[in-house]
Amino acid sequence: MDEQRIYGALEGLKKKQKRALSRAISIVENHEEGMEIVLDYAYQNMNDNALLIGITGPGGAGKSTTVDKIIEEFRKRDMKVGVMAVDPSSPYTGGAFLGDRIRMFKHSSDDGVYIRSFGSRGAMGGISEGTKNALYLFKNYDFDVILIESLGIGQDETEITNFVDVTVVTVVPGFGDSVQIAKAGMQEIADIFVINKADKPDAQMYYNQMKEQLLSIPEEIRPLILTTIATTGKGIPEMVDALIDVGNRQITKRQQKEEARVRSEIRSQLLDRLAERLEGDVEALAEDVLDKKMTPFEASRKIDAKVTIG
Amino acid sequence: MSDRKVKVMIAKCGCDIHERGALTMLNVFRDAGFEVIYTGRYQSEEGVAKAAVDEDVDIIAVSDLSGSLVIICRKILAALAEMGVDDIKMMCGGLLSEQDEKDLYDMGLFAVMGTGSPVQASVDAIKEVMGIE
Repeated sequence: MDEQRIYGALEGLKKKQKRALSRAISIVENHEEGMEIVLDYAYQNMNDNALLIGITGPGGAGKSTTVDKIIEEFRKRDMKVGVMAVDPSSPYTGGAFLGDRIRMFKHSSDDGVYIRSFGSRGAMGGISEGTKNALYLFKNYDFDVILIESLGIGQDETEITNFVDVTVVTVVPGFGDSVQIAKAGMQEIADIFVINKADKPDAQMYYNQMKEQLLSIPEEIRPLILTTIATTGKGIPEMVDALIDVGNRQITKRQQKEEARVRSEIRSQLLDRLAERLEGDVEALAEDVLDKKMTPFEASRKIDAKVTIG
Repeated sequence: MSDRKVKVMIAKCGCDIHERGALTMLNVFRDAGFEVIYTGRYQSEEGVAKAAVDEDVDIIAVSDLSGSLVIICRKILAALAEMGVDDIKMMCGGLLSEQDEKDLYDMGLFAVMGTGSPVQASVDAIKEVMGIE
């Protein structure tokens, strides 16, 4: 363990230095030895002041451009903004092009904005382990708003909702009809749908379709539908108003979400540890399965039995 | 289990429209297994330095084809020094003279790539300075 690095970051966190936040995020993202020391401190000392906003949606829908514009709007209202931007890592090389920041780069020289890019590093639910842990670190600082822009896979992004107060799903006209909207997940996670690129010819039709589609949901929990043109900033002030408004109402759900989150947190940490510990067994039995000595089902039962005894 | 990734920020500053080199290196670095962040064009040196600190990158790779590499790199280094940062390494690539190359190495850059350098040379230089095989 690099004590100087870990305890250095910890000291900086206590003094709320930005530099230490950067360092601490790297420590948890890289799974460096000693990360638990930083995380334990961060978890115990985090505050609940920030409004947490998750923005998700398919790639190319304009999430980053939207985030850029809403940072601007929040800054006009003198609110400090933290941004976590997640982009996919390559499952083959582990490399990643973290491209979200390009759209928001002009905020780099603003001290009231902190932007950090993350590679998904193999995560499925839209946010990686590193991102989740980094959120605890963000919550040790005095941000008024924390924005999480997550992977635009489009179909498996449900996990993000438990970590934020408001979930925004950004869509664009032409990305599928009411069938797509009807698919499980989309409606349930969105507090606000934002139809971006609303200057496209079929935007009104898409809005109408979506509106009808959502009619079956009781009015008090029905997602809002907003339209924006992120490149010009049209609709952005209204979107920020809605975020704050919905956020204030959603705060009542914090308890409920926390319960779900804590469970999934323990579970995923546990699975990580187990996976690491049992990797050898998986490898060994995989050979047997490949040699047709047993089925994959037998193999998993065998490992399971071992865990129960151990 | 440490899961450390080399983090590289490709930076472009000033009035230089030539982006192909930067975009090519984005792909090359990604495929080499690095995490790459691109600043986009027309950035300020101070913005690049601050972003590099926020992102906690290992390396800033400056791309420029306007002949201003020496000026840009000097300003970025100055901005980093002002923030008290001395652990971010810097390299650059693009259009440069022999004198530029000498000046840039004197400033402490670990690699200076002229036009026509093979892309693998940049990858190798990063791996070497980061101490990975």
